Formats: sequence, C-alpha cells, structure tokens
Amino acid sequence: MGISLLINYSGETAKNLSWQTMLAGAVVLAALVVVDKVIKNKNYHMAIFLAVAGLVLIVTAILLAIIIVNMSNILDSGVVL
Amino acid sequence: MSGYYFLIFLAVAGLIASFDPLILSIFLSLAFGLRGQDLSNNKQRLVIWAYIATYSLAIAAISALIVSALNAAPLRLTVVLAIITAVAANLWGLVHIYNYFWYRSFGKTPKVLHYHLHKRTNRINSIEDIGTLAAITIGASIYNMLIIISSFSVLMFLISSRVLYWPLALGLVFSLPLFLINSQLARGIHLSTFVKWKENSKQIFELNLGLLSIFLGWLIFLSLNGVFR
Repeated sequence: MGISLLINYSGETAKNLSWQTMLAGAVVLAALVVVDKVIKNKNYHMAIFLAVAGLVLIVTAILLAIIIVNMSNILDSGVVL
Repeated sequence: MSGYYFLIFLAVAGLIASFDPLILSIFLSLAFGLRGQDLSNNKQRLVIWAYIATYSLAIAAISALIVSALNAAPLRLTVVLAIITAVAANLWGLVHIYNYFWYRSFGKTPKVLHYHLHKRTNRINSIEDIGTLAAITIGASIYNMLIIISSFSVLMFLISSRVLYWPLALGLVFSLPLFLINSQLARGIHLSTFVKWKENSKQIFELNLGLLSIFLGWLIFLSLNGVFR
C-alpha cells in the first residue's frame, strides 16, 4: 500500500513514510539496546545482534525503496535545501 | 532544518563520533612517547597543541573537500553518492555493534600503519613529524574517518551546503576530547587514569559509534526524501 501511495502522490507521502519508518526503526533499535543492557547475558548476544542487523537492513531497504520510487521527484526538485 | 538546529546536531553527533577508541589510543601513546623524550614541559605542551590543531584542520579539510566535490558533481551523481554513503554508514554501524558485543579487530588500524605510528610517537623533532603523525592518526582510523566524515559531509551538503564553516565546526568538535584530555594532563592528572578509562569504556564507545553511524545513514535517506525542507 505504501508503494502504491508513493507512485500516486510521491513527494509528501514519501516524506511522511520515510520519517515514520526511521522513527519506528529508531524506537525498536533503542528497545533492543535497552534489552541488552537489562539482560546482561552473553548467551543472548548473538540473538540481539541478529535482531539489530535484521532491523537495520529492513529499515535501510524500505528507505532505499522509497527513494527509488520517489527518484523522479527528487531529481525534479533537487536534493539541496 | 535551520542552521541553529543543525549546529546542535553537529555538536552532539560529532562529539559522540570523536570518542573513537583508536584515536584516543594514538593520542595517549603520543602523550606517553613525549614524556620519554628530553623535552621541556612547555615544548611538550606546544607539540601536543600543534598536533591537535593539525588533526582538527585535517578533518575540516577532508570534510570541505567532500562538500565541494558534491557541490561540483551533477545531480544524479550526487544522489547516487549520497545513497552509497548512507548504505555504507549503516553497514559500518553494524560492524561497530559487532565490535561492541565481541571486541574484535574488524575495521581496525591497517597493519602497515602500526610500524610508522610507533616510530613517530617516540620521535618528534619537527613540525613535519607532527603533521605526519596527524595524518597517520586519521589513516589509523581510516575506515571510520572515511565513512563517518563522509556521512557528516553529505548531510552538510544536503541540509545546508552554502554554509562553509560546518567542516571547520566538525574539525573542532572531533578534536574536543583530545583538547579536554590534554587540559586534564596539564593539570596533573596521571596518564594511566585516561588509559584505564579508555580501556574500560571502549565497548561503550563502539556501541555509540555504531548507533550514530546507523542514525547518520538513515538521516541521509530522510534528507534525500526532502524531510528537512
């Protein structure tokens, strides 16, 4: 649904989707760091690291997809403020 | 994003990035190496201040060079370079987080620099030696420097490319921990205190660098999508 919204409305929707995705990613990342600090158990390090890596790769892939779909809009309006 | 907010962001994020265990190690080695030489206290201080200034200016120059190159590049190339930098920053963040969990030598000093580093920290006779040591310091943390400084520079370009003093501000923020440590050393605090502090905190520094690197990568994506307009 997000991608079809982007194709139809581009600019503003891309902005909203990207900051919401990043915010969600940052919250989950912070939660994982807190979990690691609370557990303090080396046995869970691999699980937590894999969760962090998965989260970072998923959020990066979503942000990259938004940019690719929104590329024509970015090139039309320029990238610099 | 207004210049005021960006300055606050640059100060906080730059300060987190500046606590790189490698850079701190080299700086403490330099301070240790100088004590073993037959130099007066004033000359020792002068050498360290010159080293910090050179290091700071070198970072500012690298950042200014990247921002200028992005300004001169065609739009399509700029977007591609920004995307590559963002993806590299995210992957680099994961390397730091790996180092946080299992302190390993991923992305550490290239071996060829170890020899020169050791040689230079024990023999500082001229301004040229200080310049070389500052260059080796940046080289020793080359992966970190390239990815973190590139990410900051891309953000500077995307958010506020016309302000040319951002690279200078970045250089100053990056040298702030060295400045503070040197001030404390001058006040008589023993070098071993800082060595112990650095050893105890290096995993936290790795975590901070990892999270910061991931955050910088995501911010570049957001800037490209026009979130800060």
